[in-house]
Formats: sequence, structure tokens, C-alpha cells
Amino acid sequence: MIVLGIESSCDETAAAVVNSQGKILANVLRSQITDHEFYGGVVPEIAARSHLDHLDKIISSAMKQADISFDELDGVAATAGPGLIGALMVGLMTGKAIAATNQKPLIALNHLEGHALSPRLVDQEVSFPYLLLLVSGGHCQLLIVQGVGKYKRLGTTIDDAPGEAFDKVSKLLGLGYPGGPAIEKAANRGNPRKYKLPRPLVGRDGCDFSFSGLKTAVFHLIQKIGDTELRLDKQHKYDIAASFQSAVSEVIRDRTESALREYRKLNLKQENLVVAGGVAANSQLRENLEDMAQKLKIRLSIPHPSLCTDNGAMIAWGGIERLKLGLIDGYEFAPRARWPLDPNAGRPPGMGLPGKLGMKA
Amino acid sequence: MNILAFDTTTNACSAAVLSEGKILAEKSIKIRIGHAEKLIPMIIEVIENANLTFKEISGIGVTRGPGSFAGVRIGLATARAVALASNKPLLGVVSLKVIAAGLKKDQVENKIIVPVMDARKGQCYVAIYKSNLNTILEPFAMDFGKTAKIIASTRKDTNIIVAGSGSNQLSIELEKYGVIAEVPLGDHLPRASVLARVTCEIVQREGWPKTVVSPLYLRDSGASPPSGIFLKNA
Ligand SMILES: Nc1ncnc2c1ncn2[C@@H]1O[C@H](COP(=O)(O)OP(=O)(O)OP(=O)(O)O)[C@@H](O)[C@H]1O
Repeated sequence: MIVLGIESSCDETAAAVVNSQGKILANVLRSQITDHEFYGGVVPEIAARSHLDHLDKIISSAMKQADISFDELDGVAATAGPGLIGALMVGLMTGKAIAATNQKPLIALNHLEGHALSPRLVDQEVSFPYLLLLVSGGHCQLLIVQGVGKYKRLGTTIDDAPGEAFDKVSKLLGLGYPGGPAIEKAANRGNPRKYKLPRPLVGRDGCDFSFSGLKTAVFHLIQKIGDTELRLDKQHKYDIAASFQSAVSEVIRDRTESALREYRKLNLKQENLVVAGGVAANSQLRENLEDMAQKLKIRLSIPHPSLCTDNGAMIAWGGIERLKLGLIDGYEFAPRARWPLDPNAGRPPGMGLPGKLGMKA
Repeated sequence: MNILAFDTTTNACSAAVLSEGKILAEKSIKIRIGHAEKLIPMIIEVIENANLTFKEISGIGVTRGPGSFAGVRIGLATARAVALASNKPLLGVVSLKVIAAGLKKDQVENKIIVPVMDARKGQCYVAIYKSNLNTILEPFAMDFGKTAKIIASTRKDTNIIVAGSGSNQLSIELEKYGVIAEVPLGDHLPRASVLARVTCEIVQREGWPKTVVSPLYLRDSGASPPSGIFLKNA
């Protein structure tokens, strides 16, 4: 079984060809970072325009790399949400058109399901139900993945997503966009114990997250340094980045441990913790979670960083998982800006008016 | 030659198949939103109704704008993907030209045609064509008032026919300059059957283009430069 996967939900234009054995035959990606850099964040209209300008070429080179024709595909999977509606539309229409032209099944995939199932692409041993930590630019959730399309949410962020926090703090420090890799690089030269930053919700019951207080604390810290020492030099930035990064990773570890206690109540023979989403590319977080997994004796699976951030391969793989079960969609499928994995999960306590996250997660 | 044509640039969604100069099938609906849901089933339907398959299509005609940004992208993303997946050529046509071409021959004789769309924010998308559809003024986006001034100053003694969603407003502005334009009844939305004919004519004259068809938005993305606190190298 071979599926073409198309991703265009945010600022990555991507296409990949994957087979049911988990072999990635092609994985092509164009990041729009340079298109949005000047604005300090993703501009929806620019993203949509850029996807249209590049997607067909990206698909064409993925097909060439995989050395197959459209006729040989068993299905076409395209991200249908959640994400920027104009951006999603380009990828979904492209996917529908390719599928219709060649009379192939369409899989209109939930982007989060792409992340959620991606560990099974590289690690065939990961069996349902597994505990999933999803940490990305727009999301932060702990879920029990019971099967394809079956998710039970244990916790979510009550304000920002961690990737968002990385991006905002990076902006505050003038380190550039996207923030994750920039903070990580700066943190490598800093002292993580230099500044005391809060660890929101750590030690509390439940599995919810909070990051906005941490971001505000960084803001005040920067102001204080500015007031007392008159300038923020490079070493200050490195130390702040390191202190921030370690706070984020400790918060995530604590909340994950809490979810693990829930998950272990299921008394499974084989237990699996998997981590996905762009922030899972962060090496300090990976090390911290590996340490936790060793101490708590839980099998941990984190895909390679390139499969953590948005990519086409995870969409193609999600398509294969669905296609195997006969779960296909009609060509009239409408893109969805908002599309929770667990539709039964309510709003977390303390969550105010729908903001950026309320709209998506 | 079998041509598949479709348009989603405005408050309509339509698809048609033209074969040897005859429209074999056409489907057209008026919708404000929802083009992304309707378009592909509509394309499949017209190809079936024409008793053809995707493989038997010789090439595709699509409107490349102007129109709603989302609408322009829905049509173009689909067209470029069908072209890629079936290895067929694609021609992009200006939506305003399709509106102009939709007027009857005797209606436009000895007149200049001004197709005009309401682009909101007090502006219109507009172009000027001769009755034979040769371009006098390429498409542009401008305030209704300024547009009227340009037309009035250059074309005072010619008969003018104005059509499209911005036609009433433009004709009112034109009157201020003493220009009485003809505004034919009806919506004058772009239609896939007309697009298919225009595509066919262009291809017979010039052949299929070899270049990528890019969108014609006529407006930038509207993104504003960054604001807020930035700590450069403080
Ligand atoms: N090494 C890293 N360390 C920390 N954060 C990182 C790292 N690499 C990337 N990120 C963060 O990950 C985010 C991008 O992740 P991803 O591509 O999965 O998601 P997204 O499209 O922003 O959101 P979503 O997938 O939820 O729609 C950005 O916020 C980025 O800063």
C-alpha cells in the first residue's frame, strides 16, 4: 500500500510518499520561515499564497523521488485541519484533485492525528492504547490513543502552547523566528540555574499545562536586567534561554508523569509513552523525558526531530492507517480550522475566552 | 479537443466541458461560501455527463483571478493539481475577461466593455476590453471614483457597457463625469461554459502555454509590519 501525503496547515508546505511497511519513499518540505520572518510570526494570507505557489512542484518532486506514478498510488491523504483555513484549503483541494483525477480514495486527515500516529511509522512496536504527549506550536495535550480515530484527552494547556512560548520568548530576546531552535541554540551556551523562573501547575493534580506565566516572568526578568544593569548582553540572553528551556522541560515532565499515573491504571501488558509535535525536537526535553522513562520503567518512543515538526510523511502514514481500516472521506470534505482529537473533552478549567488556542484545540 | 473549465473566483461555482466547439455539460450554482466542498464533485459530474473520463480531457481552463482570495486559490490549486496528476496543459484566464465574454455579441457591438467586481473597501477590480475582447486596459484594483475618472477622461465619446457585481456603483460614479454607461440586467458572474470557449479560442490561436499559471490577486496580502516590543541588541 502506497499513499501520498500532503501537508499545508501552517507554514510548512510538504509532500511525502510512504508505504504500509513504514518506508518513507520521499519526503519533501519547504519551510516558509523566510516568507514570514519579517512579521515575527505566521501571516495567514502570506502562508496561503506561498502554499499555492509551491505545492504542486513539491508534490511533483516527491513523486519523482519515490519513482512512482499517480496511478500507482493507493490513496491520497491531505491535512484537512486544524490550522489556518486558507492554508488548509490549498493542500486539501490539491489532494482532492489528485485523488479524483486518478479515481483514488481520499483521506482528509486531522493534522493532530498525523502527529499522534507518527511514532508508529518509525516504531512498529508501539501498540494501542498508548500515552501520547503532543507538544507543538499550537497544541499541548496528553492523550490516550486507544486506536485510529479514538482519543481520550487527559490534559491540555489552559493558555499557551509550549512552541508558542518558545516563539514569544525568542522574540522578547531578539533571537529570531522560529523560537524553538533559536532558544535551544542559545541555551546551549547558558546556565539553566542562573535565573529562577516559575514552574506553573507543577505538582498539582491533573494533567493540564500552563505556560503564559512563565513567558510573563521572562518578560519581567528582561525588564529588571535592563533597569539594573542597563543592557542585556549576549550572556544574559543565553542564561535566560537556558533557564526558560529547563523550566519548560520540567513542567512538561511533571505533567507527563501525572498522566502516566492515570495511564497505568489501565494495567496494560505493554505500556508505551510516545511524544510528538515540533517541541519534541528539543533535545533537552528529549533527555529529560528519557531520564523519566528510565526511572519509571516505561517504554518511550520519540520520532526523529525531522518527523516531529510538521511534515508530509506523518500525513501519508496517517492516511495509510486509516486506509487499512477503510476509513476514507468524500471529495466534498470541508477544511476545518478547529478540529479536536477528542471531541468529548471539554474546555479545561481556567480557560477564558477563545483565543488562538480556543480556536484550534 | 475536450476542454475542462471551472471557476470559483466569485459568488458562483461552475464547471463545464467543451468538446469540438460544443458545450457537452455545464453545472453552475450561486454560493457565497463553500466552493471547496462543491467544486470537485461538480467537476466529476460534468465529466461524467459529457460521457468522458479525466484521461480524455485535452486540457484545462481556469480563472486565475481577480476575485476572492480564497476563491482564486481553490480554483487554481485544483487546476494545477489536475494538470499535474493527469499530465495535461493548463491555461489561466482573467476572470474579468470571462465576464466580458459572457455578454452577447449584439450587446457589445461598437462599445468598450468594462467588467467590474466589487472588491470591498470602496474599491473595484476592473479591466477594459474592446468588443472583440482585445485588452485596452489590463486588470487593476482601484477606488470606484478614481476608476470612473480614468474611464471618463479617456473614453468620453465611446459607448460603454459595464457588467459585474460592481457595475451599479461604477455607473453612478461615471454619471458624475457625465458618462452614461449601459448596465445590462443580470448578475454577470463568470461562467465555466464561457471560460471554456475563451480557453478554446486562445488555445487555437496561441497553443497551450508552457509556463506555470499563477494567481492574479491584484492586491497584496495586507500584512502589516511587526509591532510590539523588540529587544534588538540592547
Ligand atoms: N528544538 C526545538 N525546541 C523547542 N521548540 C521547538 C524546536 N523546534 C521546533 N520547535 C517549536 O515547535 C513549533 C512548531 O511545531 P510544529 O511544526 O509541530 O507545529 P505547528 O504547526 O506550529 O503547530 P501544530 O502542529 O500544533 O499545528 C514552533 O513553535 C517551534 O518553535
